[in-house]
This record gives sequence, structure tokens and C-alpha cells, in this order.
Amino acid sequence: MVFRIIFYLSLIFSLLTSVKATAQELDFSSNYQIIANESGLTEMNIADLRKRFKGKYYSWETKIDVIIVLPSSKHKNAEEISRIIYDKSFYGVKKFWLSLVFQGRFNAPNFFDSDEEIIDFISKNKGALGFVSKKASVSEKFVITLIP
Amino acid sequence: MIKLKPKILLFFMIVYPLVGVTQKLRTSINGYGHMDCDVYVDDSVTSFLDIGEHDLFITSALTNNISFLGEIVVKPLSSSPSGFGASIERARLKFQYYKNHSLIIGKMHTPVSFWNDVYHHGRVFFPTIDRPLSFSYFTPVHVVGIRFQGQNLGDLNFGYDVVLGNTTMSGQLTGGSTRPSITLAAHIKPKDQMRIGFGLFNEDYKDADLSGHNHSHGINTVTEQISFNLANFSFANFGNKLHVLDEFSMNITSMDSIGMAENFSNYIYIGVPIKERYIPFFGFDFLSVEVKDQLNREQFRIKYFVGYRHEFTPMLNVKAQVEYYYSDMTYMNRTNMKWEYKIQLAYGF
Repeated sequence: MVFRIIFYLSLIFSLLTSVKATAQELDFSSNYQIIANESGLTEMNIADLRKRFKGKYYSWETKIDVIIVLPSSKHKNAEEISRIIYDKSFYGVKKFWLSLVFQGRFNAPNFFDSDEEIIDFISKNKGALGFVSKKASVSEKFVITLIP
Repeated sequence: MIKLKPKILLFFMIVYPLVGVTQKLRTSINGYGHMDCDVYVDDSVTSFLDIGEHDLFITSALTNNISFLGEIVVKPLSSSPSGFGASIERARLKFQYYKNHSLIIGKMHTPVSFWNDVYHHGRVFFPTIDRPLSFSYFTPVHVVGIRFQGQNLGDLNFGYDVVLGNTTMSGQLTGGSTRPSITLAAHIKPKDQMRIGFGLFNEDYKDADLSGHNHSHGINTVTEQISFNLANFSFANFGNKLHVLDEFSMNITSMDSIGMAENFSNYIYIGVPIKERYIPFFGFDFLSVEVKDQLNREQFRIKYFVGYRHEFTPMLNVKAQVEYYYSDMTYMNRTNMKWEYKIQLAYGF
């Protein structure tokens, strides 16, 4: 009896978790577009995207260093993006990166106040990775399609 | 200064053409510092207001796969007329030679424990006011040498570090020790906020100045050759609802004349965040040194602490801590029990 209850509770918890994750992915793919300069990739799933934004890989398949680009605290989407990508508040994301850079494990990310500044930086820096809202105008060569 | 042998120079000559040229030099400069107010109560009451270490932290991507990291600290120094002295705590060049694998050369912190590999001199990152007791006696904090590093490998985010170097103050690869020290460390990060690690360290000393070795309080200079070994286990989990950091150290020293001494230390910190920025915490820390140890001498220390950390921003926090501290310095036939009340303001900019 006890095992059944635990089993069903676990099942409900897993379903709720997966529903939440899927909703986040839908939010992300319908509201944002991933952009990168000379990454060598044209598509990416959200799990891979999260790993890359957390500093999992130093370099792209093109052997160019990954440069992380993030919205700053002044950017209107900073909190939402932090929740979707890092499952943290923007405050938590700042702490995460300050610590990683202080350890000497990754180069410091670049924070920008607006989509225009993010696009401008990424277009000028090979290896730069970021995302902007779907409405922003971006050259096709920088866009990476999010796949399920 | 490190004496480079012709083979090492040849290695760098071969490696040079592989080094990419960066599109734009990216340099960032940060500073870290802290101020402390302490009151110690035993038979008498002693109080301090200290300007602590102030840290200039510089990182720069020199090329696509070579970066520099420097940490220069100005810290209290009683022998200096101004009361402060400067030292280079980290100065290292990192060459990423293949994917997540790198070669690092210079002065760095030994990656033997979580604390030494993660927090360095940045008090704003410390979960408690003080470092673990093992830092004052066992942990070889700095090393000058060569390090092979891999990180975030596979699904468990496996990482490794192999360091050959010297932890004495000589600045040479083998000065003060009979051969280069070796550090082997590995860790996994099964979750974003979790890291489990294991580290081993060995170095043999003779007539060595170890004053920069472990922030020690009066460590001995031993004229006979002494073998120094350290095994460290770390568990760190900084989740949303619970923080746990455990640092266990086993230190074995041996000398031909008197044999082997087994010493232990364990630091445990438990934090229970009320909200993301408001973190009450408690824990304890102990250190035990056997009679045969001639570096640190026979002693036993234990402290229990309870405190609160208030984070105003990621770069500004205040910690308040109450400690009960018992020390038995058997080799001096002296025991001491005291209450310590501490406040630390830690910041970065």
C-alpha cells in the first residue's frame, strides 16, 4: 500500500515537472530566438542550450571560444530568461557567474541592457551566444533554430 | 622564479603555432575586500576592528585559447610600517589545448579541496566568516607550477586537476622541497549546485619556509626531511532550501627519526536560507594533530558556530557569527576556551 502511494505520488510529481518544463520550452521558443556568431550550429534543443549557457563547453564545434551574452538587470526580460535557462533568479545567475569567473573556470559573460545591444555585440564577436525576443530583427546567418 | 628547462621551452615553441589570435582583447578588473569586527571573551575581553584583505582581480582573454588570471592582495602585515603588505596570490596563464582540457602555468591555489579551489581570497563568496581550521595547519594554499585541468566532462560534469609544483615560499619548482609537489584532484557535479570532490597532495620538505604554505600560525621549520601527505574529501550542495559544505582532511606526516603522524580535520557548514538572500547557518570545525607531528605539533581544536549571512547584492554581504572555541595546545601545555563574536562586511566591485 505504502509503495503504491509513493509510486503514484512520484508519477504525479514527474508529470507536473515535465509539464512545467514543456511550458517553459514553449514560452521560450515562442518568445525568444537564439543567436550565435560562427557557432557551426543551425539548430539546438533546450537542454543543450541550457548547458552552453551554464559554461559546460569552452568552445564551439568550429573551435572558436564560447562567449556568453546575457541580459543585464536593466533588460526587461532578465528575470524570465534567468528562470527559463538557469532555473534561478537574476540575482542567482549573477552569483553563479561571479563565482565561476573568480574560480578561473570560465571567461566572464557579457551583460547588455537591450536586445539591440545584444545583437550588435554578437554580430561583432565570433563565438558569441545569446538570445533576443522574437520580434527583434536579426540576420538569418546568426539564428539557431530551437528543436524539441 | 620558475626555472624552465629546454624541453619545456621547446614544448611552448611547438605549441605557439596552435595558439589562435583573438579578435578583441577582453579584460575585466574587479576588486574584493572585507572589514571585520571581533570580540573575544575568555578570562578577559579583547576586541578588534580590522581592515582585511583587499584583492585586485584581473582576467583577460589574450587569444582565443589563452587567458590570464591575476589576484593581487593587499593584506594586514604587522612587520610593515603601514601595517599592510602586498602579495601576488594568483598569476596564471591558461592554455585551452583541447575542448574542455587546459594547461595552466603560474601561481595558483592548490585544487586539493573545494574551499581552496572555489573561494580563494574572496570573502564575499565565503559561506562563513572564517576558513576551515585545516587552512591554518594542513592545506597547502598556494602552489607555483604546472597544472593539467579538465572540467564539465560527460553527464556528471567530471573534472580533474593534476598539479606539479612547489608550495613553499622559494618560488622555484623544487626549492625548499626535495622534489616537486604533486596534487591529484577529481570532482563531479551531478547537479548545478552540487559538487563532490576528492583530492590528494604530497610534497617532501627540508629546511623549507612554509609561512606562505597554509596561512599558519607559527608553523615549524623542520631541518630533517619530512614527507607531507594530505587526503581531502569535499561535499558541497548549495540548493534553494539547504546549503551543506563538508570538508574532511586527513594529513599524514612522516620523518625517519620519529615515524608517522596521522592528523584529522573536519569542517561542516549547514545553511538554511529563509529567502534567497537571508541565510542563517550553523556548524562545527575540529582539528587534531598527533604527538609525532613536527610541523604543526600536538594539538586539538574545536569550534561550534551559529550565524547569519545577509546578502544585499551578489557583491555585498554582512555575516554575524557567534563561536565557542576550545583549543588544547598540548605541546605548549596550554588550553583555552573562549566565546568569539564576529561581524564581517564583505564586498566586491
